[in-house]
Amino acid sequence: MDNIKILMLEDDADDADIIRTHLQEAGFNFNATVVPTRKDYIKALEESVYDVILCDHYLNEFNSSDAIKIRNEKNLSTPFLLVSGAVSDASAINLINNGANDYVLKDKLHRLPRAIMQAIEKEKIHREKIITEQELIKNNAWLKLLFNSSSEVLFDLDIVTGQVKMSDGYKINFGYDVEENMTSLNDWRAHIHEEDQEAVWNDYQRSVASQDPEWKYTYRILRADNSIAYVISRAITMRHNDGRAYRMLGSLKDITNQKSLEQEREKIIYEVLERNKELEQFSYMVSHNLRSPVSNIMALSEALGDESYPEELRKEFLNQLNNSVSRLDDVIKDLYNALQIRHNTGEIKEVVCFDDIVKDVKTNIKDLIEKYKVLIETDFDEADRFMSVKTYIYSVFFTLISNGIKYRQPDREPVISLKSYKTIDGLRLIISDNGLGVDLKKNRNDIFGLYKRFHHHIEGKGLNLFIAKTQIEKLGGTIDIESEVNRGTTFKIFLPFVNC
Amino acid sequence: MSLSEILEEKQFIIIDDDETTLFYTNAVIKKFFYYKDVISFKNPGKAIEFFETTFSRNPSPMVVLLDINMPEFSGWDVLDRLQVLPIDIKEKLSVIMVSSSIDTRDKIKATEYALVIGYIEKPLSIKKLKDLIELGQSTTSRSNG
Repeated sequence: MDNIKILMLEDDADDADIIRTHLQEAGFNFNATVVPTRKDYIKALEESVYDVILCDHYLNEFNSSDAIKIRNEKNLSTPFLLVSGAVSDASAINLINNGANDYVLKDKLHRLPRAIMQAIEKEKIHREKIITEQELIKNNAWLKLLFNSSSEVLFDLDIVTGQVKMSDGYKINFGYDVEENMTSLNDWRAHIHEEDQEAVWNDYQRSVASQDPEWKYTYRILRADNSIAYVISRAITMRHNDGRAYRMLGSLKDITNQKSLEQEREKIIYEVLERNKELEQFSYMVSHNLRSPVSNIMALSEALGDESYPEELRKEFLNQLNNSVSRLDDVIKDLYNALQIRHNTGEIKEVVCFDDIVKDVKTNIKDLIEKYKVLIETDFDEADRFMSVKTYIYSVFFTLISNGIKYRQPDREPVISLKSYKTIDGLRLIISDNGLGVDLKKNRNDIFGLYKRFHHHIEGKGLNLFIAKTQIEKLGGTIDIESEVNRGTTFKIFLPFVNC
Repeated sequence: MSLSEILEEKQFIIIDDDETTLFYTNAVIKKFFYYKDVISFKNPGKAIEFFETTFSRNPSPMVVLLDINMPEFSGWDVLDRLQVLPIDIKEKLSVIMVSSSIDTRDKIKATEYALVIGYIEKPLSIKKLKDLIELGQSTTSRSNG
């Protein structure tokens, strides 16, 4: 050990020399300051730092008990050894209780070097412990601060017991009280959006069972106010040596804003693609449907000019010419209607009662319903009304119901059923029939297209589904189709709540 | 084979879902090729059936005037079915796409079918038909020589 600084409280110079000699013989490299009086002792303690204090019991004006008290009063933890000719047990115990490390009798000074080394070593460990503790306290304070002030929600999960400690951010982000409603894995599961629950749980279990050092998953949380939050959960999994996971430390980051920006972007892209598709359809329509009657008119008027055709035939040419002209007119009107819905904005939204709409449709097509013995079943128990544009809902119902009748099975009485469901963010309408159905493998992309027809023997212009889709999209919703040839068709409509 | 030979040997078959088109095409063809039989199909499904049964049993040279935009089976669907007929049957067929479409994509697509000898934009006229057959013939004689 490097130069040990010793403070020796000793009023007998000979004894001091003897102690020095012992230490030198033991090979100690040291520097001893001898103080015989209380005043010198205090001065020494104030002016310098010592590795150890060696103290005689009986001193001129005071004793070892006073000496250790002085050390304690100065908040020093310098190791303190009593080196005395004799000491009573009571004094020794008193000293040890006051913080002295050891005592060595003057006739057993061979013990001294070892006692000094032990005392210094003990003090060193003690000091390191204090430093570590102080750092721990400091770090803990930091952690506590971070834990509850981070914009991310932090969690500490005991995988074995399923207990969860969640930071206060959880309440701020998701509205659930942490102490009451977020203390276990079950709570955690319960707050996950029901559509994500199984997937999250399966992936969590997979990760825990594997040797993954980390777990990361993006899912939705249903906030206390029923709104949806998108979160990324990132965690470090702590494992025993045999790989068993016992603890997970991690964070939940609310990325709802990013997500909604992303969704907004996707929505815009989708809309642009849809518009593009419509433009393509429009050009296709101009190319085929608009041009079809025009080309007939051209052919027929040319034929009419040829007087070599028999009179009978020319009369028929004229007849057909008239037909073609009215067809052209129809196409132009349809086109106008189809495009107009796109441009209509600010339709008045009102409470639309589904039963009333169905009643209106039934009245309108009473003859058809009676003729084909159509059964219309409705179940609007879950949601019987909705804030929407009445004319649109009517038009959609009318189209889907009359399509169900138009494309009925020849040997089966048409049954059309309408059902409504509540969802978190809006309303779902299911409208199905038992009609001819459509081969979706072949036609899925065209089903809502302008002027798309799928049945040869039935007159249709392929316009109504296009308009229905346009109207639903104007309401912010979606329409999808499921169908099987000869089994029937089901339309699934989603309408979101209106943002007022 | 000269133009007149083609026209003399071949029968016309028109497939179009538009009645007015069927009517005047019939009238025009009968006027100029009064010695020809013209078979019309309003339903392309029925036309496919005809090619696969009656025609396959007794194939004879035919000019097929085929519309593109029809429900259930488009002109392309009909072509797809004709293409898989045995070679000795389908070689009797010369298909002319007749469409109101002025969409160039349709014209390009038509060239992808070996059976298709031409594309006529509606309205069909006897002049367009004759031009096409002559053009087809000159191309054929060039490639033969």
